[in-house]
Amino acid sequence: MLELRDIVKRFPVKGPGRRVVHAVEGVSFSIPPGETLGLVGESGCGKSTVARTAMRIYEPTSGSILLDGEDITGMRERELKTRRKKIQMIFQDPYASLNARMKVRDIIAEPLVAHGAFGSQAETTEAVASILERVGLGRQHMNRYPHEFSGGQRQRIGIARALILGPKVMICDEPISALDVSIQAQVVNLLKSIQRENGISYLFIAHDLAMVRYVSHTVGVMYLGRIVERCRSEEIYGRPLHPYTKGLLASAPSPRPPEPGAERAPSIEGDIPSPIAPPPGCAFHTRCRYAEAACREAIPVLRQVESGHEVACHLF
Amino acid sequence: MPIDNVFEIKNLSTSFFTRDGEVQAVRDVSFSLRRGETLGIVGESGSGKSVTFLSALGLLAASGKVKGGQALFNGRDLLASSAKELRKVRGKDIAMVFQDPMSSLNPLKTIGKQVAEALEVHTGLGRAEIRRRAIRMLEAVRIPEAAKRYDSFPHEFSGGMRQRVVIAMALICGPSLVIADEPTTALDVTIQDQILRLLRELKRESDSSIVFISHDLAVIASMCERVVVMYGGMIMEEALIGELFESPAHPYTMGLLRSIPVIDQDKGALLEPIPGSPPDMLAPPPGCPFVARCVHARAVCAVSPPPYREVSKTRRSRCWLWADDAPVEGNVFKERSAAYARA
Repeated sequence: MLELRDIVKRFPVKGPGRRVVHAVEGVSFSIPPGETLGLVGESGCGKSTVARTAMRIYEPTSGSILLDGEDITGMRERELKTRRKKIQMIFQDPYASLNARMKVRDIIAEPLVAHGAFGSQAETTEAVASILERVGLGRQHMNRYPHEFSGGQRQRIGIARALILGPKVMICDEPISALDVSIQAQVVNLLKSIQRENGISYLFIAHDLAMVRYVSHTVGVMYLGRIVERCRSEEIYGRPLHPYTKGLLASAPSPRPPEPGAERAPSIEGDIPSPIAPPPGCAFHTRCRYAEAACREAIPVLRQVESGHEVACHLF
Repeated sequence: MPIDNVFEIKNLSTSFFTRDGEVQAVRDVSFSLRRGETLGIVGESGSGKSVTFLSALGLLAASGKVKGGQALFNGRDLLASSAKELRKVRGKDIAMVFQDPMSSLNPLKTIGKQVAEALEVHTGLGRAEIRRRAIRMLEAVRIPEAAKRYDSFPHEFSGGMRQRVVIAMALICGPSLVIADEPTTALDVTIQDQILRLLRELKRESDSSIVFISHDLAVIASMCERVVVMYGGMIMEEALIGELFESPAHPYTMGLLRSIPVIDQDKGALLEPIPGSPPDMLAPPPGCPFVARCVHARAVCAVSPPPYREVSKTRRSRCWLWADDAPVEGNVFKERSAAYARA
């Protein structure tokens, strides 16, 4: 449904010299209908840049984006507009992503208006009411303003706005990170039930490993602009192969208290290198306990090492 | 008060007086901290967990007012102390580490100077000795080449390194109580892990008591021996960390545990979210703050706040289901209540 082919995105850095931020360095994936691809990684790994490039908020430096089999990479804004109905996005901060001066009805109806898809006032109102009910709010909320809602409810409004055009793909960029723990499961379960009903595809970006596993069919782990491991989500948590993935999993505190005297799995030392000057070779070699000479020289490519399990590491 | 309690909060209530009215941020909160103990305070935004400690240390915003209660530090009530007395305690005997290291650091001063500052204020040591101790402290928090980095500025450090500096600032005077408020929330997971490991190591080497405030039960579980669960400005329950996960004694905690995925979770099993949203603290329900979201709620829960009662030697809970006259049928706690009573 959504396919990215060898996407590269570099941002020029202001100031002297021709330095660039290597945000994304050759990311490819495809998401089948009705499936969720989860992207995890730490700050600076490029996961949000991938999301914004897929939406064509950013223009890729190179590579192509295919939506529903159609290349939308070079498409002009006018053509693109008709395709945007198929791909929508929800954001991390439900406080910043809704216009505070608009009523909920108008926020949700706005995509209809922008795409000239609205009918009469009455039809629009009905469409908004029905989508509000779908996301667990009600018709009575239509004439209220965003500040009258809690964070979880605002994220539901954001989801309603994204759903109103009936998209086939939804990009979810850290949609639950800003929400309270007791609310996160509400939003995630809502996204899952929408997918079961209408077969929408999700690109789900988060840093909470357990939550990503829970919502995703396939998981990609990113590090400094590249996918370093990808497989079905049960596999990545059950049998991680890449040293970075293993360290990432070991770093996440377990939501159960450790057994007294239990040995903690080794985690990752050091800081994430700057994407302005990523290390040569495998970008992870500066923090990898298994790094060899080859890792400092050649960039490992993502390749299948087992059925459905891809790793970019010289050890495999 | 037993002498081994280094810190004790008794019946604390704090409100903020805003244009919209009184926000009852903390209501009748009581707990104590033993010497050398690490106590976790877990709660969501607006639960009152940070305000409890800001109240105790006299750091409330101008609109905040302590309405009642005591905050006893080594037996002395901080709420009855003058601003000058509090300044002597803060940074020396009680140190704080906050979420965002950048907001705790002065961007215009070298990190060495900032670590040394508390020694300059609170001790009469000479300059050379202060510098020596500050470098030793930077080494203790694993800043590489500490002597060389002494003259660096905060912007030259990564987020994780900055938080190490903030921890060094907090520990330099050897405080008997450290209050860490979401100290790793702004950090990436691998950096968070490094900081948590550092804190555990430092803890083993000192006899300071630590209060660890977080919204993340997993982080609390990896750090603390005992935990206090807050919701809607009140304590819902208090337990040893193992007990809390094993057999939560409040419906809120039960709901919270069911709504968090574990990494080896059966994927077919749906998470069970807690329905609804947290209460509006401008007009909190007269009874239990959790009543609107509680599947076990009864009529009494909406009307009067449950008493905060001891349910076993190590545990307290604020729930009407633990009351002696609570109904037996459908009562998730009745069996345990009887078992605890026998013990």
